[in-house]
Amino acid sequence: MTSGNTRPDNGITHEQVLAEAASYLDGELSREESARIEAHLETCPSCRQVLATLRVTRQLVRSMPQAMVPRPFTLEQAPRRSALPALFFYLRAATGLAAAAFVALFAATATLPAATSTPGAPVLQQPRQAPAATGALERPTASQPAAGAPAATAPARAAAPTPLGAQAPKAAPADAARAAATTPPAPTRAPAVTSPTAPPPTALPAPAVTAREAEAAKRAAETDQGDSGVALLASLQAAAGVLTVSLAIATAAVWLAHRRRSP
Amino acid sequence: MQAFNRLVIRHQQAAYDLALRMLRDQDSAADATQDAFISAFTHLSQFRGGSFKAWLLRIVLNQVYNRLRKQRRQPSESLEAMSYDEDAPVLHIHDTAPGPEQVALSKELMACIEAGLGTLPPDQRAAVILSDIQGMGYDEIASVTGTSLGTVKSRLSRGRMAMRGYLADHVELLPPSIRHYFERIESGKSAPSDG
Repeated sequence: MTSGNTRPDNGITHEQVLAEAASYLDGELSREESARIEAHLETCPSCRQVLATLRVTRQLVRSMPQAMVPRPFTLEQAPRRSALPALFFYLRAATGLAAAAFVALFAATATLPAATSTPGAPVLQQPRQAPAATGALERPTASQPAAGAPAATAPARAAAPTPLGAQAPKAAPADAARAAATTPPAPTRAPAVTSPTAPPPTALPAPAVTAREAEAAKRAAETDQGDSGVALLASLQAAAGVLTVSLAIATAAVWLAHRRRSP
Repeated sequence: MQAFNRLVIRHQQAAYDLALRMLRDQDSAADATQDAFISAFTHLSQFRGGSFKAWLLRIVLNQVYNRLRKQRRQPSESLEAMSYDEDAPVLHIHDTAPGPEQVALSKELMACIEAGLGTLPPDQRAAVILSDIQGMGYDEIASVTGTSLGTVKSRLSRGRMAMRGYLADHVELLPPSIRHYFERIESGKSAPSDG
């Protein structure tokens, strides 16, 4: 038996014959190529035997019956065109918008306190305390649990340098609206309780205190609103952040699902 | 929809048979076949003419390969398990091989051939199934598998040689009329001149 690489007189090797055997059996070779193989087969018993077994193998496989379908695969109704592509588009857009909103809210939150708060004012703590802290009175803390007392001390202090009740009604309009809204009427002794550093009432002229306190109350009101705005922005910012992350996860999931379902 | 379902009825057996022989599991093959038809309907606009069967079987093959990749990631039961057992639904025998007379196949031989197909790598198995069971030409096989003619020839050649070797190892299952061909392979002797 000749080795695989030797060339019989027709110039084709055993390996070439075996490589082309399937195509030869299937009639996929040109006439010239088929003639070369047939010429080789006439002089090579081993290749003939291989061809014979390949022919039988092909016949056996071709004799295999096709499996019956277990059920019809007809479509009962038009399958809904996958909503995944459109869903992916809208989710991606929504993610972008949420991210943009988050960035905008973050920027607004970062800049807003500087624009709305006055120095030294505890803007995020006890708004009620602000007037007492920012007015002419050096009221240091904003965390007094007796929230009503500092606010109430303004009218009380306003009254202090003067006979009781004489000036208080004048100062009260500026402050009492706020104080009354949030606190019970304050005792006149409130300063002694909550304002250890407050100057003696007798040192303040009544009209200046009133104007100053009115101005402080006004600023406090504005700061109040600013503080509330900042808190609101912070909440919205957090919500936008959570929404952005959620939408990004959903977008990725839809994209993966769409990739898997592509034909 | 009605027109599409006519196509489904015409090609569903070929589609299911390909999926079944590749996946070797009835449920997986049914799912793959159904998904392929749904995908074909959804993407009907992408069919550019030519052989609808080839286009459809390409979609089936893609579904099959997706599932085979998943199976490789999560190997479970043997891929050798097939439906040709005694309790399986009766197979409707078709004459799939025009020309030479068919060989009567026993259940054991059919199981042996199926097992032999199961030993082939997926690409060679697909080539042998499309050629010898589906009766497709090389051009159609190249279209279905998305490969060149040379690749089809190479895979078919290697696949059939592997099947030949597998059958030689189970020669006792072969009909007597053809057993002697393979017995010569077993003995390792060169065949006498057939003249």
